[in-house]
Amino acid sequence: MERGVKMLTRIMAVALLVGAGVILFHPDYRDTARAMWRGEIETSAIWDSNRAYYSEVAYEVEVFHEDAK
Amino acid sequence: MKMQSKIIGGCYLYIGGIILAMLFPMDPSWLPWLRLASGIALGIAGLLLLMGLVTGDTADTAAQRLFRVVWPALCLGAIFLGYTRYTSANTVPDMQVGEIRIEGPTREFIQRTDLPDTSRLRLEKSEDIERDIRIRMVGELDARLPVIREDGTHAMDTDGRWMFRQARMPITSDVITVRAADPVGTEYVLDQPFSRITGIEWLEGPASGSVALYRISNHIGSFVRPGRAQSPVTVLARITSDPRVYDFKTVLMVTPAFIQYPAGGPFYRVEGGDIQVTIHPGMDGYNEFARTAAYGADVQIQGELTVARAESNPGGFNARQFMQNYNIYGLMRPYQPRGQPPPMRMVAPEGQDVRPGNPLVSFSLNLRDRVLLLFKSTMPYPQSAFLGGVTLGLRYGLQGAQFPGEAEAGPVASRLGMGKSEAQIVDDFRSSGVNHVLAVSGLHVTILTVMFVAIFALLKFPKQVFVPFVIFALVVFAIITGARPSTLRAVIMNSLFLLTWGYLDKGLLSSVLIGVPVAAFLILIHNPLVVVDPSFTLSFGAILSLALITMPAHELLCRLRGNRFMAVIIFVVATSLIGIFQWTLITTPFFIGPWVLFGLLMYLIADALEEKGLGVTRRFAFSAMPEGVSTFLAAQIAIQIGMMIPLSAFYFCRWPFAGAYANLIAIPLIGVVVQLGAIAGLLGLVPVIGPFIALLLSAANWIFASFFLWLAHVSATIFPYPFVRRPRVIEIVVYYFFIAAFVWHKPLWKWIRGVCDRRGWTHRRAPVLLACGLALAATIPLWVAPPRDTRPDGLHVTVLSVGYGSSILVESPGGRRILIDTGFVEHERGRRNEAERTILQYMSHAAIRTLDGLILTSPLPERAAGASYILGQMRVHQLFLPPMLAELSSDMTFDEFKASLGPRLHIDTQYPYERVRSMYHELVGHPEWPRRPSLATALESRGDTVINRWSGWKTTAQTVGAGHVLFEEEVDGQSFRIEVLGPARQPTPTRIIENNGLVLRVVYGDFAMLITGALHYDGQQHLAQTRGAHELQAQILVVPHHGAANPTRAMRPDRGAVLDALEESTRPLLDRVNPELAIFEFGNPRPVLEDMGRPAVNLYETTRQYYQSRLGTDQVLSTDRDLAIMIHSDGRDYTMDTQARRNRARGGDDDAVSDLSIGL
Repeated sequence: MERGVKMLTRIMAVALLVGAGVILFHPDYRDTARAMWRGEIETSAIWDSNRAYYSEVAYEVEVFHEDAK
Repeated sequence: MKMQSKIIGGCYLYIGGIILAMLFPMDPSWLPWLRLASGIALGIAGLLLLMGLVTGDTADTAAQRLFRVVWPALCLGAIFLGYTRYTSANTVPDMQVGEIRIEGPTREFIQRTDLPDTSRLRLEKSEDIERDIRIRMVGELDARLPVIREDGTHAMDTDGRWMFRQARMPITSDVITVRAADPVGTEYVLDQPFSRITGIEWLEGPASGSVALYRISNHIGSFVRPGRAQSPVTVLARITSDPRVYDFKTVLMVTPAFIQYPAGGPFYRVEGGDIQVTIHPGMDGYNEFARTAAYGADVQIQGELTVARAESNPGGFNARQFMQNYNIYGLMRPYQPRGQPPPMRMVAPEGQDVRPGNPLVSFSLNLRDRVLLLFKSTMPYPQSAFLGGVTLGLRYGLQGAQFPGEAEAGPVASRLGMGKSEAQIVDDFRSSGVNHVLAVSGLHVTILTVMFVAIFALLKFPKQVFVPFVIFALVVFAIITGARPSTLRAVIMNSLFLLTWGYLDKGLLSSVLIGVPVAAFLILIHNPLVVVDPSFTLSFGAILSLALITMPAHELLCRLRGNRFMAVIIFVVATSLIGIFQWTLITTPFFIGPWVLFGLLMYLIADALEEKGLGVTRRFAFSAMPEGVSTFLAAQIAIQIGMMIPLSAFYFCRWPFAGAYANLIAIPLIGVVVQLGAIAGLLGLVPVIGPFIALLLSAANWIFASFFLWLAHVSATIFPYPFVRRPRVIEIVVYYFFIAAFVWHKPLWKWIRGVCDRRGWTHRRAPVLLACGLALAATIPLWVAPPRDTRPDGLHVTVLSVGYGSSILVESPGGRRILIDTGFVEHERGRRNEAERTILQYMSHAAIRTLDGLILTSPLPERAAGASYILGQMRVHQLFLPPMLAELSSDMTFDEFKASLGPRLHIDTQYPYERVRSMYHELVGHPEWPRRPSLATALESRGDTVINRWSGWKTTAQTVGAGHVLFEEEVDGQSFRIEVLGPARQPTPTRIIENNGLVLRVVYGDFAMLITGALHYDGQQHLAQTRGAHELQAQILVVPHHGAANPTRAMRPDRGAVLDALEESTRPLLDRVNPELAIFEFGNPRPVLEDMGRPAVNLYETTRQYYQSRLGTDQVLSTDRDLAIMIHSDGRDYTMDTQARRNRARGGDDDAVSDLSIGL
């Protein structure tokens, strides 16, 4: 179990560093970080790419309640 | 024997009881007796066990002697329990409520039990009678009538109970006639329902006899009706699973409480079975159902209640059985007519909101949605869909997702020459053998278990405290991911491990040994039908392989060092490279035999060199690798030989060659992806700071997820994904016998040596000889088992059911196999590939790996689109093409291709651009998707090269026309041949594609079968005019153009015009052919004809009626209703069988849901 703890700690540490790097250099992630900071995640490029993926799981559920017809 | 061993043994014997019930089914009427026997045996075992525990077993007491009986009693009890659970789950027995007995003047109705509810009844003839019995049943009905609210929904009270009015009414049945001529066991179903039987009205009867009266179970399976045009029923039900939402439909599982049957009739209380409901976005209120919150809602559904299809072709997928394994006995596809209220509506208790479902499930699903929201916010598509699939079990979200294009895939992909691909991610995963990561299983649960334990350990919690929390988290995870057998198995096993580790300080191995059988027992006691489900079998196969084979494999590999290790590495790498570049060589006996000998020779030479001190150092060894790496490699080998190779071939007829390599990276990688995803999802729920941490973690995870997708894509691109022969059950059993001998080789060897010592066989090779003798004896079942093909000698023709398409397999009396046409391939939404899904599956099932001939009658996609896939997977010696494909080559332009079909071919309503373009893509190639197989590229790769000749992979193409004889042989004095009757040298000027395709006549002795291909009306007329009756005569006619040729240019032709065309063109052909039987190759035409699909169905119905009027109703068959059609001829006469008939003989229904009612 100790090995698991060490492994998890390492993975987390590396992931945070790598994640910071990706946000710095990847324009979509930069854009998403800014949108998240502004509280407007629905305007980010990442959210936009996911719009059709499980569209019923969204921030604006009211829109979703409307009937299709 | 220790208690643990008893528990393990009992669990395995329970599974043994289930297998016995599958192999030797018993009449369900014996169930009560078996249950009693099971109860007595288990009761005795329990009682004696208790006595033994109370009195102790140290002294030689009476109790101790009794205790010895415990084990046999437990064994018997477990076997009986398994047998009864499977039999009762697999059958819905009707209850006998009474008997009608006639003895001379005494005529009496003996009622054994009251009817428990509104019931349907049936009589069953118990013995032979001299005269017909004619009676009426008399009784009462307490009919439940609906209480309807103002909004038109069924009323529900404040406690959530459905409300009914009860109306008591006297009931007298119609006259029931039990005919003297009917055999004993004949059933007579009463049309009227009863709640009480008060007597019988005698009309007529013999001097003696008896008839049993049964109550038909109100299980939902007894209300379903196969086929089309059912009268709609109303079902009051509850949504009992998370909706599966696609972009074009939503699938819901409902547990019905009441059913109104038939429409306007009384409501019955449903006694078991679930219904799968599919709704489409066009329905009002659709969005209320297409979301997680729909779980638990009460609903009212109106529509046809049908049943899924059994196998369409021999050895095909049995959707009906698959669904019944999960307790789904009915299908509904509610349809909302224009201007009518929606057929499916949510119903709330009086004055309240719609009821939520089980709180734990609702909590789990809401948690999943919130985590999914985070994934959607922090990871781009399709990586988000991959992450949702592996951490939340949302694998349907990956449907339709394509591998990112070259630009997104990065420079590595383009350097590898992967180019642009239309491969979907799910296809990549399947081909590369990493598909298991999408089926949430032990791997995921173990990753999460380790993660949660590590987090708690990091926070310095004692394990006795956090174990329950981790188990709770695993239960929530199981619910989130759909609680499939593989997940349940893993959660049960991990929970047992956590409990034994946390509170008993036991190790992993002991928990695996007890965990596997206990988990299997718990899953199978709940639902014994999943025992044959791939999800269950593959999951347990994997864990047993890991637990049992890994260590022996590791020990064996650790013996490899120095030159020997190097020799093995070289042999494995070389074999893999050969498999990659020409996998057919691996399946060629002329190659694989010498190759294995070469490998052995190389090993011996390496060994000899090492003895002389030449070669690599002995420190170069498998055992020199880090322990974790070598064990991981041994585990991968264990999974391949214990599960992947045998079970993948058995279930899917394919072997994911790439999996052995791709999983070496994929498994560690998925550990990182799932852990980062789970932590990001959970930390992201923390207010304010959480989403930012999730973004950081997801940004890193995006790299790993992208790498995983890329890995799967590269593996799928490089490695083959071959079809293999489906092994027989006896072959699997013998295979596992040898695996077991390998696992327990040490005790086995000890036993063999003991036997030799006891027998006085002192020769030093005696144990080896005995071991070889035993191994040989173990293969005896293979030699004595009945052969796979028990059909009589002669000609066999199988008309496969491939939807709106054609594929006919001819097996000549001399053993040659010829395939005529290859079905349709749909690349768009449905992605239905008949060549892979039906034809190659059937070939694998029938152990056919080589075709002597492949004949394409026409370039039409419904006939030729699958050709490239057949050529890519099977040895095909000769390919015969119609003259219009004489110039086929992969560098043809579209205009050249169009011109080659016929100079007069014009793109218009007759040949829409999309249809001709589709032919071009399938036969020549797709300019946008160069990696998609086409006939021309497949044919070019099968050219006259040394390797192709060596592996039997060479295909010779030839264009043929009228007058050619493709195959000819003489068997038992009778001649077999395939003649080409059309097209004539001078092409028919109208409908040039249809009328200039091949027309074939298969002849064996006095038997003949005419295959007319795609002939249009004028082509039929032309054939009848230019050929004599003796040339066309055939007992069986495969109807031209699927029976759906349109005689006009109108989209919806007038029925009269169709009948006129049939009279004018088809009648002369029928007069010449004079068939006894006509076969329509028909199915859902929408994937092929799109908007012309509905008119095609109407044309087919009209043509079918015309043929029925000419030949008789029973003499007209179709692959839509009768499914695959099997014909056998001995050269004098012929017999015919259909898959629908075979399904019926196995207890299926008269007909199955037609593709037409599904697709249109």
